[in-house]
Amino acid sequence: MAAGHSPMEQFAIKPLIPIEIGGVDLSFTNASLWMLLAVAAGTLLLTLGVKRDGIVPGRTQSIVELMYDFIERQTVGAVMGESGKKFFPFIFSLFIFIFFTNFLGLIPYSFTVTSHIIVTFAMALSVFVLVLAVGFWTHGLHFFSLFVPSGAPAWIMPLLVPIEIISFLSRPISLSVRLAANMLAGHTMLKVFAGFVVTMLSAGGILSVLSIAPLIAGVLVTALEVLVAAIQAWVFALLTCIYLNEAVHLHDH
Amino acid sequence: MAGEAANAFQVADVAPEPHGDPAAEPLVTEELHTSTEHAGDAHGAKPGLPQLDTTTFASQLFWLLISFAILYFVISRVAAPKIGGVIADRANRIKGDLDTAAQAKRDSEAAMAGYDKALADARAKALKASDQMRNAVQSEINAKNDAAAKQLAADTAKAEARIGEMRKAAMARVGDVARETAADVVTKLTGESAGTSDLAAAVADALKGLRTA
Repeated sequence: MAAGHSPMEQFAIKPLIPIEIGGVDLSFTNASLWMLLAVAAGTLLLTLGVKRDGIVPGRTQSIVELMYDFIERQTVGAVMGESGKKFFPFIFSLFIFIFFTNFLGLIPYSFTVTSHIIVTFAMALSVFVLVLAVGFWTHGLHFFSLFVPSGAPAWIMPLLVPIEIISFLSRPISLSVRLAANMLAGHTMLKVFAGFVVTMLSAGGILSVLSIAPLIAGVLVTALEVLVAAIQAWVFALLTCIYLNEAVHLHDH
Repeated sequence: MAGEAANAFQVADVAPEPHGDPAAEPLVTEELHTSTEHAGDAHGAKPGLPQLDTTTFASQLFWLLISFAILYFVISRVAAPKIGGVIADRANRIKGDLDTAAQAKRDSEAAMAGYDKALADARAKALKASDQMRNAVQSEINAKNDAAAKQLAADTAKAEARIGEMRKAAMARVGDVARETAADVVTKLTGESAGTSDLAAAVADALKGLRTA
């Protein structure tokens, strides 16, 4: 349908139900649709997939418990220990949201919510704001000591402190760009290979036969993207944990 | 799917396009071709990366807030407690089962120890009873033996005493007999009677020799 178009077309935001409130365009778009579908998928899996008396877990429940254990114990627990308990629902929500938006985006003709920098940036910024809030709430102005590396000689501080501040401030950018760029690049690559297949097939002759090459590449890239979708969701959750842990414990961890 | 929706949007937007008009054909194709830009146009933005179209930001942020809030609510209120509860239940159940098994093991070990102790006690008691019995029998035998030995010794002593007396009496009479016999022999051989004192001395000598022999 859209084979002849630019590989970027898949990222286009298309309004499904135009909504405008107070002069601001809040239309229900394909992005909104896939956000809600991701939430629905996550909700269905996490609630209906688990039985209260599931002492011996079934297949679905095993998957759910695996995800839960992976984030709860092996990520939040491993990085933050006891102090991570109250942040777990937030971090797990981030993981599930990114995981499902990434995965649903792999379905042909769907839409990848996380390929839009504004979405990932909003999530990264909320993590950043949470880190600041937790940091100042726990340590007050002492939180600024985060920018003073312990154990470094005093004369090097004028150099180190600005570096620490810049790296701290660039966190929301790196966090959001990492995810969005991964999704953007992967999906663009998929589209480019798929486009090659169509172009070569329609060219006829030897090119039609050779079109098997980009097809195989496309399959391999799809497999890679499945991996990337899961890894990037986890990386986002893990970095959130690390940042929050720093805010809670400063350097003394 | 999404493309069709956009097309529908597109068509609705540029609706009064007479169909079957050959002159309109290229225009429609072009419309389709630039649907992205046009969708953007509908938002009043310029072409380029859809990610950089700032006019869509408000809508994306708004729906992100709504959908993430729903997910957070579901996870923090329903899913996480439920899954955590199931996992904790299982851990408790396994721990409980292990504890029960350990308790059963301890119980069986205690029962085993009790059995061993009862067995040892019974054995000791039996041994003691048999020892007592043996001792009682032994002492009875000993007592009877002693009594019999005493009786025997007494009898023997009595008999020996009597023998001694008889021997003494006999020995006492041996001198008299010897003297009479010697007197008779001397009288018969010599025809005259020997002096009693000589006879007595000779007999006493002979007897002394006899006794020492």
